[in-house]
Order: sequence, then structure tokens, then C-alpha cells
Amino acid sequence: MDCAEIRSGFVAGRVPAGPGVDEHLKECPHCHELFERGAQLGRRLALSVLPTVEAGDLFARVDQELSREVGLRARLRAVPTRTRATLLAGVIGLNLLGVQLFMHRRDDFGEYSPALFWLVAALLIGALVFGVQRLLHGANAPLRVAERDGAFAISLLALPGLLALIAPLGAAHGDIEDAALAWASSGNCFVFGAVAVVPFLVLAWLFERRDRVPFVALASAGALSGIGANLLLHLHCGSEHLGHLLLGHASIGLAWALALGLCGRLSRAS
Amino acid sequence: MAAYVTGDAAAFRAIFERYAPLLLRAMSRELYIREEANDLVQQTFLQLHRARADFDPSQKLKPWVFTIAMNLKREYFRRKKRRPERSLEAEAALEPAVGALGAARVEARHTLSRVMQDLPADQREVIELHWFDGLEFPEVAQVVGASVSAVKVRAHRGYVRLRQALGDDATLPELVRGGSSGNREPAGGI
Repeated sequence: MDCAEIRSGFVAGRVPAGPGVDEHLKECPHCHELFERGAQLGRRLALSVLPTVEAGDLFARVDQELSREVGLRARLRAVPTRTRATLLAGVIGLNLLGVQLFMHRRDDFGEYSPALFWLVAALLIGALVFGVQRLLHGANAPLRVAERDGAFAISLLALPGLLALIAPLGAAHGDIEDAALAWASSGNCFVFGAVAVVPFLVLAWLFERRDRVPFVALASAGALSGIGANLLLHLHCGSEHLGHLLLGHASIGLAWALALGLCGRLSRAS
Repeated sequence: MAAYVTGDAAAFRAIFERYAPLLLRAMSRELYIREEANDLVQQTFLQLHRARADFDPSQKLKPWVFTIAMNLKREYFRRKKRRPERSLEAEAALEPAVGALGAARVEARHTLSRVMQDLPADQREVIELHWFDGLEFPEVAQVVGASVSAVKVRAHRGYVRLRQALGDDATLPELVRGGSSGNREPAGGI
């Protein structure tokens, strides 16, 4: 006898009784509650179990819907989550490689603590990998995990800004930067970072399994693209000016989150 | 499910026939409009289809299907910006025949539903999944993402609160006293 059989007994229209039930109740305090005061709670719960509902013509509708699942996007959506996550994070990896090989790299690597540099990079990479997996789990995530998606999206959005405040990685003891130039160049960094992560966002959209993507998932996708952009800029830009870091780097995720949220709202409204 | 993942269309039909009535019941419990319940069940099977390669054949399918369904339902209510609730009339509409006993059942159900709204969400969720959706505690644990013991503790706390809130009710319809049927889903289910 177990808890499920106790429940089934009540649902079948009888108060479970017998030696097996007595034995189970000795070990199971929560089932014991069901039998208190003439088993009122067990009876009430049993009376509240609705009958199952016939599906009618629903199968035909589902079948029709599934017959439309063809083409590139349908194939990409059906790829296992682990592979999709690897590919999605891999887009940022390719971007990083491109910056390393073909673009201007910051030339101040020797002027500050390598440990701090790699610590910041590791935090961003960790958040990206973990966040991508969580984003792609979609409706398969356990309820408790899905419940915290909002807080998770906010953490992802805040991470680059926090890192800029705590560890503004530039020349630790270098020349005083020209503030006006730093503010002005923040626009360049913003545009570079925001455009560089477009392939990431396109692939994330192709991989998304939900037709009605929740706002928090859109915000998470925006935040993750921001983290990817900050990783690229971490290699590319040596500014330690806080205004530049917040406006030119950390705000990319927020901007994408807002843009995606707006797109989602507009598509729902239409 | 393993057969379905490898492309057996008949296996999908079997999965649908097994789970669609259970999912419709779960959705209908909190939705006024049948069409909306149908839509959420349809979405659930679409998600199941798209995520089929993620299914671990060593696990049970039922908690996996319910995880998808409950996430979609939660998102539905978030979008609608309203809490799930049900009127007495809507309850009555689900009864096959509302005679004297039917009316008593509906009333008992309505009272319980009202009291359950005051339970903490984690306790209510566990009780609903176990009692109304027919999931065993290990399956409930999988759906909510907690340990089996944590789920049982939540159920216990919920039962205690429910019992205190409901008090004694002499008008509650009687059940027959006897052995357990052993049937896990006797109410016309799987």
C-alpha cells in the first residue's frame, strides 16, 4: 500500500481500510491527515476529482498542426537541447575567435591582473552557457525552475553592469582617460556589440520551440545577447571609464531585451 | 514514446489517447472556456513533438507531459493577467448529471476550491497534481523540480491547513468504507 493507492481508493468512492492501510498510516503522516475526523479531508478531495474529459476531434487538430512541422525551423527546433545550446553558445565563441583573429584587440593586456581579466571572462562565459541551456529548455523546465525565470533574466541583465562597477577592467594604473572621448566612443562599442550578437539572436529564434514566447524568455534572450556582446567587448575595448562601460557595454542586453519584448508584444497584439 | 521518437506515427496516437483526456481535465479545472483548454492541450502536444528528442526513455512520460502542460497553463494565466478561478455554474457544467448527489459534489468541490486558493502556491500545486491530476509523489516531484520528501512535506502542510480551514462538515456525501481498489486512475482515465 502506498500514497497513490490510498488516493485511488478515495477516488474510487470508498474510504480505504484494512491491515495494509493501517500499516501505511503508521509510517505516513500526510496520508494520516486524510483519515482524521471520519476521513473528511480524503472524502472532500476525492469528491473534487473531476471526471476525465473526452478529447473529441482534438486529435485531428493536433495532427493537422504536426503536419505543418516541416522545413528548416521545424528541424532545428527538434534538435536535442544539449546540441542546440552548444550551437547557440558556439555562435558567441565564433564571434570571440573572429575578434581575436581579425579585429582590433585591446592592447593593454599586460597592464592589469590577468586573474581578474579571466575571472570576469569566466563569469560571463558561465552565465552565457548556463543561461542558454535554461532558455532552450523552454516549457520542459520543472515548474520551480520556470518560476524563477524572471529573477534569472534580471540577474543576467544586471551582470555586465555589476562587473563594470566592481571590476572596470582597463589599465589599472594607466593614464587618465579623456572622459569626453570615452562617452563619445561608447556609441561605437554599443553598435559593434549589438550588431555582433545578431546571429546569436537569429539562431535563438530558430531554436525556440514555443509559439508564444513568454516575455521573460525574450528578456533572457536579450540579456544573454548582452552578455555575449560584453564578452566580445571585453577583448576588444580597453576603456575603464564607468560611463563608457555602462552605456556602451552593459546596456546592450537591456536594449535587446526591451526590443525583443516590444516585438513580442506587437506580434501578440497582431 | 521511444517508438514515437523513432518516427512511429501510431505511437503518437497512443500517447495522445492516453494523455489528452487527463490533460483536458487538468486544463478544464481552471479554465472557463473549453476551447481555451483544447488550445492548451494542443500546444502541449505540439511542444511534446518538438521536444521529443530530449525525452529520456528511462524516465516516465507522464510527469514530462505534465511539466510541459503546467508551464503552458501558467504562462496562459500570466498572459491573461488573471488568477485561475471557477464559478459554481462552470463546475456544474462539468458534471455528467447534476442530481441531488451531483449538486452536493459540486458544492463540496466549490468549497474546497475556495479554501485551496488560500494555500501557499507550492502546497496547492502539489495537492492538485497528486489528487486532481493523479500523479504519484515521485512524479509530482519531477514536475515541480523538488525532492520526493520535500513534495510530501508540502502535501502534509497543505492537508493540515485544509483540514483546519474546512472544519467539520456533516453534509459531506458519504463514501463506502472498504479496501483500496488498487486502480491508479479509476475515474474513467487511462
